[in-house]
This record gives sequence, C-alpha cells and structure tokens, in this order.
Amino acid sequence: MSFKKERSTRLILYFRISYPMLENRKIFTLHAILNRVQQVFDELMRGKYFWVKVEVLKVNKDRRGHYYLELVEQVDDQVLARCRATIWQRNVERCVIDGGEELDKVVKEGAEILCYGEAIFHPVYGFSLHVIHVDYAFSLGEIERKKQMALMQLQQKGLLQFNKNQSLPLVLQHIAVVGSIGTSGYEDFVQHLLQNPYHFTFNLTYFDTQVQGEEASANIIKQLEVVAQGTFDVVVLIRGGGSKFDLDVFNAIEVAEQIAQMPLAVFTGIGHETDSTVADYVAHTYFKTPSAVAAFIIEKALKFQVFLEQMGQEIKENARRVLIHHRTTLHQVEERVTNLSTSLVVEEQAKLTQQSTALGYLVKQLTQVAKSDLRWTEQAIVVETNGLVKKRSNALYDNVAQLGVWGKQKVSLEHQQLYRLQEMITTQVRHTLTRVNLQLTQTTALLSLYDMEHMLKKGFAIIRHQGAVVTERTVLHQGDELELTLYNKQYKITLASIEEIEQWKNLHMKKPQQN
Amino acid sequence: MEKLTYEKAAAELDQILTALKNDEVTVDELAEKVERASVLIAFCKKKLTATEEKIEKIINKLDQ
Repeated sequence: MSFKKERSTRLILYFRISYPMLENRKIFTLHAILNRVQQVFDELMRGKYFWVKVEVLKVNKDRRGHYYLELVEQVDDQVLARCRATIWQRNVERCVIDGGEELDKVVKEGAEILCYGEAIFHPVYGFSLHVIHVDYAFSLGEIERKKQMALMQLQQKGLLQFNKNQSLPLVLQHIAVVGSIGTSGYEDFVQHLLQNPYHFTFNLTYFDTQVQGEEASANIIKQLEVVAQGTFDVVVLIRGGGSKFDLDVFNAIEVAEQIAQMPLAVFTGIGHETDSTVADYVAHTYFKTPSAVAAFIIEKALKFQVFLEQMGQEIKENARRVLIHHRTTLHQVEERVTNLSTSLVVEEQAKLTQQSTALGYLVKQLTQVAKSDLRWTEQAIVVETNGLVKKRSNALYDNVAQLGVWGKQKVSLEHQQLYRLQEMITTQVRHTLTRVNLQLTQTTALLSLYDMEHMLKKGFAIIRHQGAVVTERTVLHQGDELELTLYNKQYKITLASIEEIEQWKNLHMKKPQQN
Repeated sequence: MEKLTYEKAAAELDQILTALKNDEVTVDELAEKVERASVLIAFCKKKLTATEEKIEKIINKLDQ
C-alpha cells in the first residue's frame, strides 16, 4: 500500500512541473511515452547483466515452463523495492542442469535468491527483470544461515536437548506418524514397519500433513499438537525424500519448538543425505530416511524379543535348576528319614529283644525260685498233714478203742440191768396177773352186789366229771361242773365250794400201800 | 489349620530329620513323625511336580 502512495505522489509532482504550458500543449499517446521510456531505458540498460539478491514474493509457472515472479526487498516488513521477473523455460533448464535440482525448489515464495539477469522495460508489461541464472549455492548458504540462526535461538531457549530427555519405552508399538500420506517416504516407512519379517505388530496412527508449501509449518504444528493429546510411545515425523531446498518447514523455528516441547520422544526421518535440519537437531533421535526410522523401531522390538527369549530361557533354566535342587534335597531327606527311622526301630527292637531276654531270664529265675519254694511248702504241708492225720487217727483209734471198751462195758451193764428189769417186770407181771386175777375173781363176785340199778335204788349216786366217774383220784375244784345221776333223775351241779375232809378210811386205805 | 507351604514343609522336615538324628524321637512318636515326614515329602513332591508343570506350561506359552 505504501508503495502505491509513493508512486501517486511522484505523478502529482510531475504534473505540476508541466502544468504551465496549458495553451499550446502537446498531447502524447501513452504508447508514444512508454515507447520513449523503453528507448531511453534500453539505451542505458540493455545488455547489462548484473547479480541481484532478492526475496521471492510470488511464483507462477506456466505449462510451458516459464517462471513469472514477484520479487521484493524488505527490511523489518518495510518494502524497499518490488518488481516482476521472468525466467524463460530455456534458462530454467540451464539452471536445473547447472544446479542439479528443480528450479522451483530454489525459487519459491519467501526464499532469498541470488539471480543473474537484466532489467527490461516494455510498454505493455512495464518494468521487469529478465533472469537468466539463479545461484543455487547462495540459496543453500542462505538456508544454512537461517538454520544456524534458528539453532542458536533454540539453544538460547534451552530447547535443543529438551526432547532428548524424553524417556523412550522399551518397545515402540503405538506410533504416531506425522507426514504426507501417499508420498514415497511415507509408504516406505509404513511398508517397512508393517511387513517386518518378525511379524511384530505395530499400531500406527496417521496424521496427514503437508510437508512443503506455505501451510506446511502450521499444518505440522497442528498435527503435533493433536499427537501430544494422545497416548503414543513415540511420534515419527517423516518426509518422503526430495530436494535440499524443500526442507524449509523442517528448519522453521516454530516447528522445531513444537517438536522440542512434545511430551513424548520425536523421531525424524526427513529423507536427506547430507545435512541435518533444525527438526533433526531438536528431535529425540534423527534418522536419514523414513526406512531407517522403521528399521530402528523393528530392531528395538527385536532386541526386546531377544531379551525376553533370553530371560525366558534363563528363567526356565533357573526354575529347572531350583526344582532339581529341591527334588534332590527332598529325596535325600526322604532317604534319611527312612534310614534314621528304620535304624531307630531296629535299635529299639534290639533293645526290646535284649530287655525281653533279660526279663525272660529273670522271670525264669523267679519262677524257679517260686517253684522250689512251692515244692518245699508242698512237702512241708504234706509232712505236716501226714503227721497231723496220723496223730488224729491215733487219737481217734484210742478213742474208738476206749469207746469200744466203754461200749462193751455199758452194753454188758445194760444187759444186766435189762435182765434185772426183765426179771422185775416178769415178777411184777406175774404178781400183777395174780393180783388182777384175784381182783377179777373178787370183782366178779362182787359184781352182782354192785349192780347199778340196785345200787342206785339203794341210794347211791354216780358223780361224773367231764364224762368220767369221779373216783378217789379225781381232783375237784370250785366251779367244776358235775353230773349227778340218781336212780330216776339226773342233775347238773356246779360246785360252789369244795373241801376234802380227812377221814379214817382214807388213813386205813393208805396203810397197806405204806407197807 | 494353617496353610502348608513348601517352605514350612521343608522346615518341618528338617526339624524331624534333626530330631531323628539327635535321637530326640521316642518310639512313641516315631510312627507319628515318620508318617508326618512322609506326608510332608508327598506334599513337597506334589508341589514340585505342580510347579514344574506350571512352569512348563508358562514357558510353552512363552515359546508360542
């Protein structure tokens, strides 16, 4: 805008100067003026070639290969000069042959270039530079200069080593891939990783981004910010090869700062052979190609697998060894327990046998002693018993003999007594018989005298006590009941009193008995 | 009852063995002790075998 203002001010000044010739003024056509300008310009400038250092503001390339540029020189955003420039296709070809790179890698928007050419004025197209050569080396130097500046700034901010302090997991499996999908380097990386000969599984998350052009830096930074939100083992920043002039985005300080401050390790595989980019410097680890990144990741996984296998083997061996050791120990213990307990049993058995033998012997001895004692006792008892029996039988025999004597004596005594008794009885019986006979005779004689009726009529009565006739032997007491039988009557009498009266007749009667 | 472990079993076996060696075991206890020892040995063997199998399995798994 400031450029336009300047031009218009100059035009006004010009008109003020020419303004006085108002009456017979000469009017030119624009064509005539500009042709004149061209004539003057050509006289002075034609064929004069020069080197000029400019910044490329815009680049347009048509399909025939011609370049149409807008060049500018500015200091602190202040534009000091600006013009168009062209590079014809044949000159482009020459630049490519000399520089060994496509021209558009060097001549691009924002790049500082050193070009060789002439100034041209054309009535229709105006002022422009006709560039016939571009110095690639200058561009490279310029890139290097910028790079060094960026590195210095990063160094000052303490960001150069920042990402290198991020710890790296043993195995990198969750990988964020930031790059341009579809480019050869990108495909290399993915193929290399996914078709690894060890069949490791990698979990790739793709963050598509431009790697060149104006939007590339912002794009990469944005994608890196997204990656930072996720959980990945590592982020791989790759570019699928290309020219040294295409590395602007990886030399950009903003991108480098974002890389340095990532919360996880950043690997770069930017696909260039000679120099490193600023991104490479700030990254955790940098690799020359995307394939190299993939190879490293695979190798790391392989190392870990080998480590695991070794550990597994070692653990296996150690476990086996421990088991064998324990088994042996156990076996030994088992054997020792068996041996010791067996020997203990044998020992105890021997002891027991010994003891039982001793006991047997003792018992035998005791038995023998007891037996002999018993025998003695037995014999003593027999002797004693025999003596006693003899004594007893002797005494018995004596008794029996005595008894015999006594018996005989007694028997003969009894015999004599019996005989005497017999004699007495016989005498008595004879006497009695005589007396009874006499009595019987007397009685028979008297009987007629003692006829009951006769007697009763004569006044005699029969007194009976308890059915029996009362005689001189009957003892009567007071209260006794008597039956009194008279000749024609019978009475029952209860004795009120009774008393025996001593009579002579009684005395008389007793006299013969006393004799 | 407290859970028997290999280590405890081994320690007890050791005790029994020491007792046997030092004639500290009476005949009354002998059968009991030997019985116990056999139980412990069986236990340890079983445990060892089981451990071995387990290890084999785990290792086989690792090898796959």
